Amino acid sequence: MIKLVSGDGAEFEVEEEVAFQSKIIKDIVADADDVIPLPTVSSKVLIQVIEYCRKHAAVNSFPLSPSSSAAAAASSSSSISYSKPVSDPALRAWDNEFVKLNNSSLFDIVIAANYLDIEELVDLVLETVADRIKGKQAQEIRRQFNIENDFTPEEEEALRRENSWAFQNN
Amino acid sequence: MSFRSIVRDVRDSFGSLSRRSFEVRLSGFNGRHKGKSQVAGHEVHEPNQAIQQSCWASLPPELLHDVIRRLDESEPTWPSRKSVIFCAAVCKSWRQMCKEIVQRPEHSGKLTFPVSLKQPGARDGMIQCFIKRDKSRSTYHLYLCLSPAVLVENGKFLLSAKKNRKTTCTEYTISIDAGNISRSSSAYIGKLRSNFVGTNFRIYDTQPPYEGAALSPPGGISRRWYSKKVSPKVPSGSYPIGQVTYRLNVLGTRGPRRMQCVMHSIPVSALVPGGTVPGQPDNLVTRSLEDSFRSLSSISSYMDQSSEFSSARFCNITQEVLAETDVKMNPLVLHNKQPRWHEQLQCWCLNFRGRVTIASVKNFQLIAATQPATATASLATASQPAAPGRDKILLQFGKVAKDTFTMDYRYPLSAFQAFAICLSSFDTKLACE
Repeated sequence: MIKLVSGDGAEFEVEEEVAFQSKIIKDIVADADDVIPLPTVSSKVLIQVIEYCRKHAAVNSFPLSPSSSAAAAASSSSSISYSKPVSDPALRAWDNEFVKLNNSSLFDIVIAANYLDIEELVDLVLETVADRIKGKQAQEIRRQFNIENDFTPEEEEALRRENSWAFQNN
Repeated sequence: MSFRSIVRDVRDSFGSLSRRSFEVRLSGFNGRHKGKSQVAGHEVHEPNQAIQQSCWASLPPELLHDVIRRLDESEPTWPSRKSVIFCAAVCKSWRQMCKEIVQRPEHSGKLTFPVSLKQPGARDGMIQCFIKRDKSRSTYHLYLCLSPAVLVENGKFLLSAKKNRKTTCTEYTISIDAGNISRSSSAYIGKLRSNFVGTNFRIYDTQPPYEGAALSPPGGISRRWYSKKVSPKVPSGSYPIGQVTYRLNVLGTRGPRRMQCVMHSIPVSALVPGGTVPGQPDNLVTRSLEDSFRSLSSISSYMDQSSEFSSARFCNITQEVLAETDVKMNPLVLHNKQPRWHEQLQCWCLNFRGRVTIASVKNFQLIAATQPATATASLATASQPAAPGRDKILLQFGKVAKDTFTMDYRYPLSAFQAFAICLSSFDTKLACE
């Protein structure tokens, strides 16, 4: 078991294969009984990240059947999406449920996942964010993601023109 | 520095950037809670509205880069491509990132921001467009084809033009606004002006084609000085960037036209493999945006350093300088491909590969002209386009319905230049017909 300590002092004991979903933990763990302090990750976020890792560790520990590994190889060679597609439809459905969180929680998770180098989780959150941005106008994106508008009025005028050009069709 | 960025030293600069800004926030927070533990971990978890509020604005650039690249790749076609434009209007750092990621049309074949209308078209393949003419309003609208069909009613609006008859000439005002086509509008981006008989046209751009370009002199006064004094906000420059000439027809009124275009902003060397078009604009109409983004250039320089293409970019810059000197000496010259007489059909024919369906005197295909042997010795080798590329059609235009025409263009021409050349074909040529 590996002990993870969150920034607010909570301790979490997890199995090696769960903790090793994080490449960085896998790299730094020398002993099986290591205690790993994660000062920038809160316990609330760490619980969610462990939940994700536990699920993915369980699924990944089963060897892929020849057909699904072939499917994985085929989908990873497509150049359009460069996220590693999760081949297992059940796991994909689980992932989709997992990211049904508000944008603020997603932010905390992606920062933690990035810090711990859990590539699949980073990809999952960023893909979700890209989907949430699609088709939304700048003001709506700013509102949903709490981003301040730092353009000057002159710049905004130029952006308005660009925006109206984007909308003009027939 | 985050663990991930240590592992991936390519992205190192991003990690340190974001980390720094994170620490600044934390130290500010700690300052208001003196006497408490300074361990970051303890502080982070306490409710703090300031950190919560602006969290997504502090997304590390490497992650923002990832999000916008996903968006750029997943929305390649109009109308959903407007998502990328919306994204670029969120805040300065997002805009900078979008501008870094979205490639110019010559590389991607995609039109995204309005500025791409003044950048060269695709290097491999035509960008297919169509023009709708409204005779009663004397307006012309250019659209991007959204499907390969020749007769389509929907497209992405690109440019508009309005014909204005004057006593001594005809002028076509070109705008990025479909409705308000006037020179006083900020959507005005250039014009086409004919001589009295309609055999000679000049294309004017509101932006200079390259550094140090000469302005067209309006009655002896320097326009640069003039425009600054009158209205410093609206850039009303007028730079001649091309000339279209129609030659008198020796075969009478029914024969094909002969046209020639001299592109003053494109050097003939642009057609040589590896050649470039110098002085392409990064922004359309306003300079203010461009200026204010200079402060953010630190991000882009980080990008350059980490980019594996950085050495290639440097080569491009050197090449651009060479191309700039070349454009003054050897502008690209285009002429129309001569149609052949079809005995059975008793008409002049050009192969438009299905993109043009109705015979018209306006139809044309432009190819690069053969360079005269008198080309400057030092540039002679570079400026001779390779023989196979010489017959490549760079712009074709033709009728498909009563008031609908297709316009297909490619590198090194831009949509704006191609549209202006096509407008000259619409104009009645008193001396030619």
